[in-house]
Parts: sequence; structure tokens; C-alpha cells
Amino acid sequence: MNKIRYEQIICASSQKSITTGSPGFGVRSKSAGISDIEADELFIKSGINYRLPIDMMATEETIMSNPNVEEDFPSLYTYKSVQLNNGEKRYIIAKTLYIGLDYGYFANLEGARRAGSNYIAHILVFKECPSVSVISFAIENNLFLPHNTICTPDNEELCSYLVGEPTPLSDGEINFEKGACIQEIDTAYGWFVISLLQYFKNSKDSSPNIRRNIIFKVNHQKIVDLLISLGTLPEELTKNLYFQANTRLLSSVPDGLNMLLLNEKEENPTDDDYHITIDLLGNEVKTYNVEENYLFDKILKCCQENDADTLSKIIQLFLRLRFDSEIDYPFVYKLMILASTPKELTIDQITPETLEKILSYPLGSKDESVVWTKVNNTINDVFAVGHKASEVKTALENVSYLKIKSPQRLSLRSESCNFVIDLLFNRCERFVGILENSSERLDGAIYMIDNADKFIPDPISFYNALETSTIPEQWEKFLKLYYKDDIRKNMGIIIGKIMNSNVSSKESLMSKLFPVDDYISDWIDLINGNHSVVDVFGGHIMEYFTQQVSSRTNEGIKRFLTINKSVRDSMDNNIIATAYLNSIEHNQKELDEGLLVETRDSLNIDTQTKERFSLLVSILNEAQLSYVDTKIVNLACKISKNKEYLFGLFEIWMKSIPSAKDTANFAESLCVDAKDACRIFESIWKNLPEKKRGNFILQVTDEMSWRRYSLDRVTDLLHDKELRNVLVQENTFFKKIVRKGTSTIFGLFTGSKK
Amino acid sequence: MSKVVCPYCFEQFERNDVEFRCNNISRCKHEDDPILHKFWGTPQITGIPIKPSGGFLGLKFGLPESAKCPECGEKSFLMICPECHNRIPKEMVKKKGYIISIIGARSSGKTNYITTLINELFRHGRYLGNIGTSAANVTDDPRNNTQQRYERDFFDVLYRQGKCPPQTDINDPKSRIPLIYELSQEKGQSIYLVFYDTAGENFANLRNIAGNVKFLDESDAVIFLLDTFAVPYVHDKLGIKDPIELRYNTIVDNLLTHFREGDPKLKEAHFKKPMALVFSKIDAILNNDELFADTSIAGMSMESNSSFLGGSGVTLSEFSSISDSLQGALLAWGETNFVSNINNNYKNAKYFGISALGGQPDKANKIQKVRPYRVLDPLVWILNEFKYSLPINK
Repeated sequence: MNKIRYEQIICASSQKSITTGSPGFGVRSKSAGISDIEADELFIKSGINYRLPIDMMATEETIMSNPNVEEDFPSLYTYKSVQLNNGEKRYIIAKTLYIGLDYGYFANLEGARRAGSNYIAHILVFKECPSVSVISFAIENNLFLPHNTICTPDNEELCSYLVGEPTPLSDGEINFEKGACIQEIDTAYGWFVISLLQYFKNSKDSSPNIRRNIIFKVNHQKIVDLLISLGTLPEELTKNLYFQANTRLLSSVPDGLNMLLLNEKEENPTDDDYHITIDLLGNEVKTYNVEENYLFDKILKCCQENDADTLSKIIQLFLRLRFDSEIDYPFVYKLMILASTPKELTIDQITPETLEKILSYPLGSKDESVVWTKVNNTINDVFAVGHKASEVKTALENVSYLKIKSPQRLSLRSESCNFVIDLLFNRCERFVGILENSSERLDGAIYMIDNADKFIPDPISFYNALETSTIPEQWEKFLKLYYKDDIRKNMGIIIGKIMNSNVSSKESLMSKLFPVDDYISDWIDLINGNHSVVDVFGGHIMEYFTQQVSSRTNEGIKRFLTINKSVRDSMDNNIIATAYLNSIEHNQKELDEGLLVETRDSLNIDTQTKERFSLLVSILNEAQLSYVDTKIVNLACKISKNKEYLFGLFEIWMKSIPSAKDTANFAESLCVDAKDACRIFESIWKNLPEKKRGNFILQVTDEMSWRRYSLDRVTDLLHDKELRNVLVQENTFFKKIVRKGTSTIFGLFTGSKK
Repeated sequence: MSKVVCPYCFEQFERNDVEFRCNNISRCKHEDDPILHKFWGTPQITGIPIKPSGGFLGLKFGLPESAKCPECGEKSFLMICPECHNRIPKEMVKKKGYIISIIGARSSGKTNYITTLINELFRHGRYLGNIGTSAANVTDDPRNNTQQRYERDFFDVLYRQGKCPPQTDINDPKSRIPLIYELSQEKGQSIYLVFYDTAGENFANLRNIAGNVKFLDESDAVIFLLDTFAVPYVHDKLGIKDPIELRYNTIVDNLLTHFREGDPKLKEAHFKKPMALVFSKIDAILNNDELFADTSIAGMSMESNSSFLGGSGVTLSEFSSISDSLQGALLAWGETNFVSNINNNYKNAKYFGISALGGQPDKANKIQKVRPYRVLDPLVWILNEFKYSLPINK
């Protein structure tokens, strides 16, 4: 039972207003809890009146001939919110009874009896928003005043709201219950529900051109029934559904309202295309902006068959839908039927596509439980003797889909899981036939086997079944499942089985089962004991060691050397050796003469590679070399710290007439003082041909910063006079610029580097 | 250049701020105009509003004649108020439109007065310098245009059906729709008159006045209808059994209080405006001269209608004479205080006595023949105050 308190006001053109004391239109009476100002404000802001075209208004004669004016002038019902000047909100539910004549008629006065526009509006005022159930309650329980609506001066109750001193009204409280499911339904009710559902759907759509308000046209005799039925509808559908019923002279829904219920007496055109409009007044139903919808058709069918129960379910279903993507309405309807009838599903009806739809359409918790129980029953039932392979395949695909998308909804019986083990491994001829090349079925089967009591086919049955498959994915997943944590222990057996099988991409399968990084010791043991494995897996081993030698130099090569020589020799040793040399040349800390020599002598490598080893060993031993090139002197510079040895190499190198730039680079790295510089210059002077040496010296000195030792200091130490002259006279700043060309000059002046 | 007052929202705007509405009904889009929607409180599906994009000089110094629709490229000449987007007659923007408020208590006869006043203008305009009266039919909704509204809601009811009109509802949105007429002369000026048929309850108490006074502030003249039957002396003399609903002077007193207590500028402006204090249903006194033998209105009789109706021109002294007579009668009826209040506040007020129907309706509020008596007098006096060209007898 719900309770809600209300204040009330009555407005009319009366002899005296309770708020102003004046005659005419205004607040006739009110309850004590509402102030005069608020009552006046509510009357004006509610906009309540009974509008009629002047030529349709009642006259004194028509009222006298039929005082039951409400028959011809259906009362207006209003539900809306009103914002007061102080910012507070009030909610009103009102009934406006048309009485046509001014109060003078009811008081037998000579004046104040003009005919046409008078009415009595009884407005219930709420501080909190009342649900539409309150409207239903108010109408059903005849809460609106006056109870006696006959327009005669003899109607004391009616006259009391028009004539004499106004009597204050009392505050009230409504105790109401949410309406039960409606029992009697008809087509008008069905269309009314459709209009509300379309309104509900449109309210979820933010598109600017979407129609948001309802114009519902129906015979006035139906309108009160429809308003009462509002209370039986879910609150989600009717919340804040502000409306006016039986209104006239409006072509569209005014601000603050969401719905107009118009009757057959309204002849003015309405802006139907700008609303959700349903017109039941003609011979044929006219709709505007009401979508073609399977569920709407079903609603009308329910109404024709007076099936209130199904109608209620369709409404509940519609309210749960999300409209942000396309909806398969026939499908959701079937789901609803599935949930509410004993009907079961067949496995053909369950596919990943249907499962996806079931998952995406929100069912009520009870319906959800029923539907998923039925889905699981159907899937489980397939895993039993007597079912077709095609059905098993479908069921496995469904299991695979659900275990990814919604594992909590998947409920498999242990018998079903055991059946799959038996089917695949004890009747191994079915393995390939069931799984074929389907990843989904494989995943479904793996999931089921993993959830079985035990996966215990004997190894013979297991491999017998597995060996019928050439698909590495199936091998990988079943082997991992079968051996679980014991897979390392059984590596030899597994590799052997793979080697002897027809499975494709063996190397890749082995790598997935036993990645070299994690299983290197196992792999070395395995290949040392079984040479033939290298034929299949050697590429991965090589790749691993190449990477290891490059990054971990000595540790990597030492590990490689633990492989039996015969096995090693079947691999390309040059690749490993080159990786090792490159790594050493970049990282001299790793230089280990013993390991260098051992590697050179152990590996099966070509002459050129061997010579690279030997050169390194020679430099390490500071042995005199018969030939020195730029690469060698640079390598020697990195390896040796012996200056004398390096000067010696320089002398030999000069004989090959290297470039001035390389010479300068080397000299720059070797020179620490003026003495060293002189030694370099004299070595160049001595070893180069006379024709070339002058220019060569100047080019070298251009490239190196020898003047940091001072020109005088260097030239003093030089023994050769000609060499000294070249350095002193030709190596001036100006001549250097000329030698270097205009680009240097430009660079000097602009400060840019060339 | 003086500002224009919108007859719908009563906002003032500069002439060159006027906007237009696309009239290309068949080929341009129609959609809800949010500004017009806000004014009426319901969706208003119309052509799109257009701001004129004339050159700087055109906008600065001239009234734009038209605007090009940015959607369809068609030129539109339909002017709308830039504030509320209601249609306004172009000439009313170009020239001066005069707003005349007709206010009065409920049952003082406002609707009857407006009905007969307009019909009398149609009938007798030729005696007022050949005034041609035409309705300005420029609303977006044809049901609301002046011609249709007048014929349907006013003329048909009174003249064809012989019925008194229903009381005007305080919450009826129709009362926000003005009746706009152009008075034109062959050589003289033409002016626009704007009338509103408001509910008397809007002015019956001070609380309501505040919400309705804006149109009064923007009015150029006011016609106060005063219910002669609500003058206690007259009420008693005529032996009317019903008690007086509301004394005839209540609304005037309410307005005096409102303006005295409010903005001094508005007060000063209000008290300077031409104020016609019009006693309605005056036939009841003039047809009962024996009852009012000692307190009659000197010089007034049902036989002597406005002299200009005979084509002899307007004699201004006739208005002054009647005004003086009515003031004298009021004093004789014991309404000294009312007269003092008027004289002390309103600087340009005159009393008139009119009868819209020329007689009393029967008990069923039916009227056999409508014979308006002196209904044009207040308007003619106001037109003269506006300096409108009339055939004035010197």
C-alpha cells in the first residue's frame, strides 16, 4: 500500500474567490495547507480551463434541456508539473468539469449568467510526483469534486463551489495500491499501449528529429478507461507521462505535457506528423511515427484475444530491451514464449548466433533462468548415445561460444563431458570426424574434457586418436590437457610421437609445446641423444643460440659448445661464430683468448671466419702484422692499450696510403701530447711518397686538433726541416680556408656546420 | 528612429532589427520555431526565421524590406518580431502602430464593446474622413488572424446569433492574440490600432495586475470600461436585486495603487496617456429618465447619438460636454472620491457614456437588435489625441 498526501484547490468562475474575495474566474476554494498566493499561482500556471470553439459552447437553453453537461462535454483530465515562482515544483492531477454557465444561473441571480466558458476544476496538488496509479485511484474512487456533476441550481454540491461564501477544503491522503494486471483489454487499449511503448523507445533516442510526444485520438467514452488503465502499466512506461485528456483546440502537445488524449468532438487539425500519433476515430486506424514492429502486432493480437497475461509479458519484455542496436523482434518474442511455456528447444535452434542474441536481450531474472536451463538441457541432451554427429558438432560449437562469452551461464553435466572423452578417444575414428578443422569444436571439446571428472584415456588410446589428426592445434591443446604439469617430464615421448606422426608444422608445434627459451637444457639433452630431432627443430635451436651469443657472448657460446660436436656440425657453425665475433668486437670486456681459441678450433667454420678469430688472437698477443688496414688499426685501437704497439701498426698502415681522414681519426685517438703528434707527422712524412706527403700532412692536420699542443712545441720537436716548413707556412688559417673551399668559408660566416 | 512595440510580447525593438519568416511553403523546410514555441508554449511548425543580412548602411539606417532564406534562397517579405517571432504587419513596423488597451471589470462589457466598436468603424468610417478599416491578417495560424477571429468569436455571436458573448476566461490563451486593424485614409495618414480582449479578472486584484500590466505600460491610450450597474447609486435606483459583484471603480483604484507604488517613470507615463473612462450600458440610465430625474446626465439621451454619425464632422466640444455631464452625474451619485482620484492623477482623462447593445439583453442573455450608442466616441477622441486626421468642426 502506498500513501501520498495532497492539498486541493477548486477553480471556477464563482461568486467569490477564497483567495481574492472577487467574483469571476479564480480560486474558489482551497485546503488550508496551501497559501492564497500559491493557489492563485497554481491556477494561472496550470493553464487549466475548458477551451471550446465559441459556436460549440453550451447555452442556457441547452443546459436546461440536458443538465448532464458532462455527457456532451467530457471532463478534462490533467496531469502535469508546475514550477512556482519560488522555484519549488508542484504536481497536479485535475479534473475540469464543464458547466458552461456562470454562477448567476446557479444562484438564481439576474446577472452573472453568461453562458459558454465556465467550468469547475478540481486540482489535487502534490509536493512529490504522484505515480499515474494515483490518477487511476482518483478516477476509480470518484475523488474529484463535485461528485454530482448535474448542472442545475438544485445541485447543492455543485452550487457550493460556485455560489455564496467559499468553504475551505481539507488536506487529503491517498492510500493506493499499484493496479493489478488489467483484465479486460481491447484494441483501443492495445493501441494506447503501443503509443506509450513507442514514446518509451523514442525517449531513449537522442536524435534531434525523433518524435517525443503523443497525440492519441479515441472516442471520449474510452478515455476514462484508458486513464484508469494507466495505473496497471509498469511505472517505467508511465513515469512523468504528463498529459491532458479530452482537451480541445490544441494542434500539438504543449510544453510541460507529453501526451494529449483527444476525443471525437475535437475537429481542429493536429500536427500529427510531428508527434507519435494514433487516431482511432475513423473507420481505419491512422498512425504517424509509429514503427512497424512485430511486438506491436502481437500486442494487438493479444488485445483481440483478450490475452492480458501475454500482453503484460510483451510490455515487460519491451521495457527491458536496449534500442542502441537493431533488434530482432520476432526472436525476442520467441524467447519470451520460450520462457513462459513448457516448450523446449532443439539443438538446431541453438547456434552461436542465437546464443549471442539471447545474451544481448535482457530477460527478466526468472525468464533468464528458464531460458538458460532450456538451452543447457538441449546441449547436454545431445551428448548421449544415439545423437547424430552433426548435432554433437553444433553442441560443441555452442559450448565453445558460451565458455568464452558467458561461462557462468553454461551448465554441463559430467555425463556429457565423459561422453565427449569417450566419443573422441575411445572411438578414435570419430576424433577427426567430429572435430574436423574447427577451432570452435576443438575449444568446446577441450572445455568439456577439462570439466570432466577425469581425463583418463590410456596413452595408447590417447595417441591412437591424436595420430588420426594432422592439425597441430589439436595436438597442442590435447597434449597440454593430457599431460598438464608433467609435460616437461614427457618431452621425449611427446617429441617422438610428433616426429613419427603425420601432423603438419611439426617444428612450430614443438616450439609451442616446448619453447626453446624455457626448455633449452631439455632440448640440448634431447638433441644430444637424438640427432634426428635437429633435422626438424635445428632451425629453432640455431635461432636461439644466435640470439644468445649476440646478447650474452661468452655464456652463449659456452652453452652452444655443450652440444655434441656431431650434432653441432649438422648445424651452420659460421652463423654462430660470426655472431660471436661481432659481439666480441663490440664488447671487448668479453675478450677471452682461451675461449676464442677453443671456439675457433671447435667449430666447423670457413677459412675467412677462422682468420677473424686469428687476427683477434694476434692483436691480443701484440703480434707484429705483415699487413694492416683501416679496419685492423681501428680494431687494434679498441683492443690494445699499448701505444708502442699501435705506433708500430700505424707505420705499417701508412704504407697502404690510407685516407687523410682515417689517418687523422687514428692520430687523434693516439696522440696525447706534442711528442705523439710529431711522431705521427714524421711517420706519415717518412712513409708516403714525396709528391703526396705535403698535401696529405696538411689534410691530416686540417682534420685533427694538433695545435692544442702549440705550433712552436710541435715544430721544435720535428727533425725534418721541410716538414716543419709545411706545417708552419702552409698550415695557416687562411690557407686552411682556401684548401677547404668556399663551403667552409660560408660555414664560418654563418656559423653552420658543413 | 523610434522603436516598435511588438503587439504580442510587448517588447520594444529597433525597426532595423526586424526579422523575416520564409514563406516558401512548398519547397523550403518547415520546422518547430523554438522562439515562437516558447511564446505560445506549444510546438509551432512554420517556415524558418531569417535574419536580414543587408549591408551595413541598410541595417543601420533603413528598414529591411525583405530577407533571403539561407535554406531555399527565396526572398521573404513576411516580417516577424525579433523577440517572440510572431508575425507583425509590415506597415505597422514601418509606421507607428498604436496600442489601445481596453480594460475593465468582468461583465463591464469589454467583448461587446470591442465587437460593436469595430463594426461601427466599418459602418461609419466614411464620416470620419473616409477612414477605411481593414483587418491585418498576418498571423502564422490562420485561425488566429484578425478577420477570422473577429467574425467567428465576436461578430457572429453578437450580430448573427444575437447572443451575449461568453465571459472571457483568465486562462484562455486567445486573450494574448491581438486584434489588429489598419485605419487608412485616401490622402491622410494610416495608423494601426491594436486591441486585446482580456479577462476582467486580470485586473481585479493587485496580485494579478503585476502579471498583466506590461501591455498597459506599452499602450498608447487606455479605454477603461466602467460598469454603470456597479455604481451603487445607479444599482439601487434601477432596483437590481443582485448585489454588486465588484464596484465599478475597483480596477481603476487597483491601477492607481499599482502605478503609485511602482516605477515612477512608468507611473508618470501612464498618467499622461489619453484615458477614456467609459461608462458602459448607459442606456439603462438614459432609458429610465424618470428614475434619474434629479441626477440625470445632462445633455445625453438615447436619441442623440454621436453627431458625427450624421456626417457633420467631429465636434470635440461634444466629448467635453458629455464628459463634464458625466462627471457632474458622478458627483450627484455620490462618487466624489472617484472623481477626485481621477482628476488628481490622470492628466488627460475624459468620461464617456456608451451602450454597445443599445438595450439590455433578455434573461437568456439574448439581444434582439444591436443598436450601438456612442461607442465610437472614445476612439475618435483618442484618435484626435494621436493627431490623426479627422474632420474636426472648429
